[in-house]
Amino acid sequence: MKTKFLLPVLAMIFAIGMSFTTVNADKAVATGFIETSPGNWEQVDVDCPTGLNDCRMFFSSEPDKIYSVYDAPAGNLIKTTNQVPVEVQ
Amino acid sequence: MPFLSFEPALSSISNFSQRYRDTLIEIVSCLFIILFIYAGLTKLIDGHKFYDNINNSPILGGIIIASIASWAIPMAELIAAFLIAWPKTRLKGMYAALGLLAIFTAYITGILFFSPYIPCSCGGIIALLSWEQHLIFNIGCLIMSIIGIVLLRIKFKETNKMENTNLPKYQLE
Repeated sequence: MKTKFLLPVLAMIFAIGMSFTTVNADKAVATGFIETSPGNWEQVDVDCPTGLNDCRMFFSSEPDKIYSVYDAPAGNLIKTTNQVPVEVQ
Repeated sequence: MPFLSFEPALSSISNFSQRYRDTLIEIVSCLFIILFIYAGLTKLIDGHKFYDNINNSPILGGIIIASIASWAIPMAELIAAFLIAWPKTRLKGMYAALGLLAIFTAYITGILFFSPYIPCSCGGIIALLSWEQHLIFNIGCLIMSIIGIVLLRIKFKETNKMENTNLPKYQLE
């Protein structure tokens, strides 16, 4: 009887521990959109706390390409306190 | 029941796996327990991110759907995990897992083939997968859940057969 529940309980404990270690609950991120090419929008998560500057980002694999981040496809620019573009992995 | 028609086709697999049936059931159950508890808890802990993802979804979208889904989906996942963990309700849990996986697979298929843009899959270990990889992962989990359901049904059938033999009652208890 005990062995019937041992594996499921161990699996539960493992999953609970894994979920707490992988979650970045305190990270301040904004869901935004970038226009990767004319008419093609991609959703991104960027760390852009609310401010007065335009939120800009670039991918680590393409550091020369800076994108402006909007709140919706063809929407408004997200304003942030950041003065430099945010790097996204 | 649709799965009854699959059982003859899978009888060769069940004969092979009869020795390892219980082990296979335990492995499949543990994998689903880990998957659904991890998925459900991360969605509850990081609720704002999940809410934003649903709200900004090109297919679903909307505050009402996001408000309902941000609680209903993680709770359903956790309930399915607990049903699978308890041996007496394991079959029901497997059916719940199958239903949830079917919904998630349909959503991913909709995102990949019918949406105007591809959103980011942000958050958790599974975020490391692309949408296409996630679809393959979900299809694999669907197949696993079907295998689990078939093996459990075969096991229950054999258990019922043994209980229906003419053994004195005290030997059955």
